Amino acid sequence: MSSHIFVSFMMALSLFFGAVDQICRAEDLQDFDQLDLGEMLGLVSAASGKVEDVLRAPAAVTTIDAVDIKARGTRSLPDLLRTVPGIQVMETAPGNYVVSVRGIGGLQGNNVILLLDGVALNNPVDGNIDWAALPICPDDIAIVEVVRGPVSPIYGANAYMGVISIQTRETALVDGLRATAQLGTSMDDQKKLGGELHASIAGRSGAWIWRLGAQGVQDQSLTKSSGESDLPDFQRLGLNSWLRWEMSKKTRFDLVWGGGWNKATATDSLVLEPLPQQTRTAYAGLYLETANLATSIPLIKIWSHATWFDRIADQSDYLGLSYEGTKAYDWTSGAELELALPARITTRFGLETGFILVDAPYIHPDENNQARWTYAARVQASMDITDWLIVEGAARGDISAFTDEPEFSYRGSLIYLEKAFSVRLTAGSAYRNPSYVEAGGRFVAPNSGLIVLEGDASLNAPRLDAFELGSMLALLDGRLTLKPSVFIARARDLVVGDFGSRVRRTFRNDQRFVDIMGEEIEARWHPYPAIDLTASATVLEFLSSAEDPAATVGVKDQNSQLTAHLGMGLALIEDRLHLYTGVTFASARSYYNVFTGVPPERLPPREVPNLFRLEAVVDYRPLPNFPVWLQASLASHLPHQMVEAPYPTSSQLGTIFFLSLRCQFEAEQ
Amino acid sequence: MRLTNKLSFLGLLVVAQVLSGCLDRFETISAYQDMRFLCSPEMSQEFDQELADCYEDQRAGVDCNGIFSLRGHLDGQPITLEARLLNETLRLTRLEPSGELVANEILLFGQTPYFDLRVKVSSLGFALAGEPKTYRFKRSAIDLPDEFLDDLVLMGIRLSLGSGGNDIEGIDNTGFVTIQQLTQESFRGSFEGAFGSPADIVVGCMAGIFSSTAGN
Repeated sequence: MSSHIFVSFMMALSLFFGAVDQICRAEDLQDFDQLDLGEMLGLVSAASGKVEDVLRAPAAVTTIDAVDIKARGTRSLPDLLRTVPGIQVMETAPGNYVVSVRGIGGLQGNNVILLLDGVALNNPVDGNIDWAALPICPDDIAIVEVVRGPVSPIYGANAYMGVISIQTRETALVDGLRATAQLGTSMDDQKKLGGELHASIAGRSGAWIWRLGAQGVQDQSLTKSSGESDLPDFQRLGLNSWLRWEMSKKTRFDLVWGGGWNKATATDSLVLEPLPQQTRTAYAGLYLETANLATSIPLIKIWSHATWFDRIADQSDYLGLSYEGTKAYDWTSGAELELALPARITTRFGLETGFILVDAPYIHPDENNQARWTYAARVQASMDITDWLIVEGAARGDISAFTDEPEFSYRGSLIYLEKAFSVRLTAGSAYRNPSYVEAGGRFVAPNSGLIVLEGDASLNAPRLDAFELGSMLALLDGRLTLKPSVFIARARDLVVGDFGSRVRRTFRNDQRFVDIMGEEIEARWHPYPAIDLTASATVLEFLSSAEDPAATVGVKDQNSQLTAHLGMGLALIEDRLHLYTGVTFASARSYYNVFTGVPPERLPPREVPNLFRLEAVVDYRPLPNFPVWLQASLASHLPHQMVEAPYPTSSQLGTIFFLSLRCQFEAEQ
Repeated sequence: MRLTNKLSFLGLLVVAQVLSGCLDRFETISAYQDMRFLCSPEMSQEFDQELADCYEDQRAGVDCNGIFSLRGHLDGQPITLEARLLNETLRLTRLEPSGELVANEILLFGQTPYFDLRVKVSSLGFALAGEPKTYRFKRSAIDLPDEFLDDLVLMGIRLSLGSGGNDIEGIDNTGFVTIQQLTQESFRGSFEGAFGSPADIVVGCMAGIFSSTAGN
């Protein structure tokens, strides 16, 4: 039924745009006519780990650039991701989110990789993304790419359902300096205040390009939970930086690094107490690339990443478990070689090695504080069979301490390509490693000394196989882009918490498959250069759902079957006034399989009704020659006091009003 | 597949296996793997030694009043367990009209790495210092006449993570309890049967000295 509605909607949309096309062709659209189609459609890099035309990308990719981010006035990246098809977001506590992709994320966010300037920021302990600890704010972002589908052949384990790639590196800077500062304050419907300060400076001088961003946030808003207790204020400091040395026309060296500190509620799986905990993170990445060393060697690349996580909480304040004393390190290095072969074949070979080390009091003493090495080899190849037919393939083998045998993943694509149209047929397989907690955890109740949860080393790696048909159309001279896609995926060996037995609580693989089918569509239309209309919709259908009472991933009722977004942006008064309004919808869902606390117990079910998120933004530069912008934004939710997650300290979404002052100075050499 | 391709593939497999050997794999084992089943005849010496060590520790001020061991399936999981008993209570009752003092109920408390253990054997009617006797499981819902004169007992094992919890009860006609020795000071016994579900069958034994006595 929902599929029929979706198809009817697409047909109506096509008819509508076809009619508008006839009307608008007569209008003066000189701005768009001057642009190259490739420039309008853009380039992506996260689908294949290399820069390519979005029409050639072998996966569904959504891009959100800095202009979009400023126009939408969103203050958190997860809230921005709510508008992306296939993405579902749940706020579990102030600053804490679970972001899931295509119905598989469930209550764990460890099925998608988050890259910041190429460095994976997933926590090595459990693979989750700690959104509260991200050392960037939306103003630092040059572009976000959201790739949906199995991407393990490119990124390895845990790129199970996709990749979210954030780039702060702006490569289009001209020689000179640009400094930006923004001061903002917020207030929610309960009159709780928040404030944030962001500053960045970027510059280019000959062969050197650099950028430094810093932010500080303190927010009382939404700290009043649905229960009686107040949560600690949310606080964050973050620093991110990028340095590029263009050593020659062919060789460049990049250094990215940053870190952050945040203080927020510790409420999460296994910790129910709303006490504060602190998280410190740091990341660094080195990249050395040589392009076009020879005609047949378009690229040689050597790289190295490292991340560090640290949790601080005063265990003596906690009645139950805390994450105090958690330290995690992740280092990976690799090399890539791209070859241009005859018959228009491009092949890229990659080798990687690295280690993960976790030191935490809730890891089995025999497994704790040991560096665990990983190795990987991959190959990608693409062939332009003709000017309009491309075949792409990727295969990867990973060896790690998390699984007994090498894990293989693959992706194959057939792409039909026209100037403004492409159709993509893709099949792929991905997997994720059991997390440190699932394989080697040992949670001991601090008061009784009993082992209340323990890992299992014999877990199989959860796997996903998917098949996707996607398309991209650029109509009306590129002013209208449509990206529909249909996918079907099977997930197996999902890890469930075997928490019911009193003899021993551990994890096991669910023997049942989860089959999901989905339809996504994304549209963007510039009827006039000053008007930007965006729309997206996703329908999820669970052909079979995880029915194990302990399952928290791939459960039909825990996902919204329909999500949609509509947005409209206007640029007025010589581009000095930007208006934006948007509405995002997520259909009703329910939560009843959240296991939390020590020992893990199922929380009472919570029905989450249909959710509407309404946004309105005004961004105004009062004086044309003075680089100061004022921005006012409003985000409101209906139902107004709705809570998205069953945790007792989950925030009421309510309404937030944000006011900011932004200055930007540029000096060109 | 051409020979060179086959060799390349085999080479990759060999490299993969070699590298696999260099990994520090997870080998998370449960605490049960280090435990022994002390109730078999070949383990009787070990059982007695554990009991002797327990009493010696008790004299040194450490909490220990007995030994408990079992093997089988409980709550759907395989389990081999040896545990020290921290507290044992004997409840007595005086039969009417004979006035004979008999053991009514034995209550044992211990701790394992994963749960607090409580074992309850009730509706016994065992004559103190009497001859060994074997009882069959009965259902708790049945209040039988002459409950202390029959050969039926109610046995329950409780696994808890603190306070509360429910007993996993022995299913009637699936098992038995043998009291080998029981006085007001000490006891020794064994049991076998299905607890909670017909598939969850355990065999076990227990011995110790009572830390308290109630009833008369």
